[in-house]
Amino acid sequence: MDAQKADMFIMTHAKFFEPHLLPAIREKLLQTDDSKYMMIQSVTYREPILMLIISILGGHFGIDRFIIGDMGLGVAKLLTCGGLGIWTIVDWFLIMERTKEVNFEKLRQIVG
Amino acid sequence: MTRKNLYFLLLFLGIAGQIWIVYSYIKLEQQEDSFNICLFKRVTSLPCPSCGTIHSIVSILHGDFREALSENPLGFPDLLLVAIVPFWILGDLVFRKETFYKIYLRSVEVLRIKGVLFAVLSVIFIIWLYKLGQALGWI
Repeated sequence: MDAQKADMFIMTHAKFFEPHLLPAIREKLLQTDDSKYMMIQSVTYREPILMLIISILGGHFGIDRFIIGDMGLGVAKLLTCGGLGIWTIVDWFLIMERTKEVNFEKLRQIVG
Repeated sequence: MTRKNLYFLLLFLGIAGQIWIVYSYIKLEQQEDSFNICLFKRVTSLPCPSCGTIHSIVSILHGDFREALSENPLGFPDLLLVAIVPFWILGDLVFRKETFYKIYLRSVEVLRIKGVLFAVLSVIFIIWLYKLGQALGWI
């Protein structure tokens, strides 16, 4: 992939990933074949801020964990009344970082 | 989720849950009502699917299974989770194994199969309807 496309991707998708991972992502993109560009673009990345809002509103039922794909933790959170209310609050602080992690995992599955 | 993050999150929550159960047990023994921590119930004054779990767990600890079932059937899986998971994780950390993490990954795979998650959520939804019925006087 040429540098212009990689930079464009980084610019438009910077908010979905951890800042310290961006240089590594750019390196990976440069090594990736051009044919994968459409696939990389078409993945639905979760918005961290939106997940925080969902966590505040519906975290009590584990909805945030379900949406980002941590099904096991989602069910556990739902069963225990949001982890007795403690987990709900803990997740307000963890969910954004976790969302970025999940986005990175999605990208890594394509880029390798 | 990495193994380390998962273990520390669940270990912290498991120990907090155990402390909360012991505290509620003592409170309920003294016939005092433990204070209501359920955000959903505070906001809407309606019960959430897992309201009544603590009363249910205390009933189980007293050996009164029928009372536990009528309070909230989710008390049984919750008590199992809180009783087993922290010790399992501690065991894994001490012996440097990954048994719990592997089971967790497997459970996530099973839940991703179409229908399984739907079945689990349906059961919880039925329990919620039952709790709502109790609270609103339908049953």
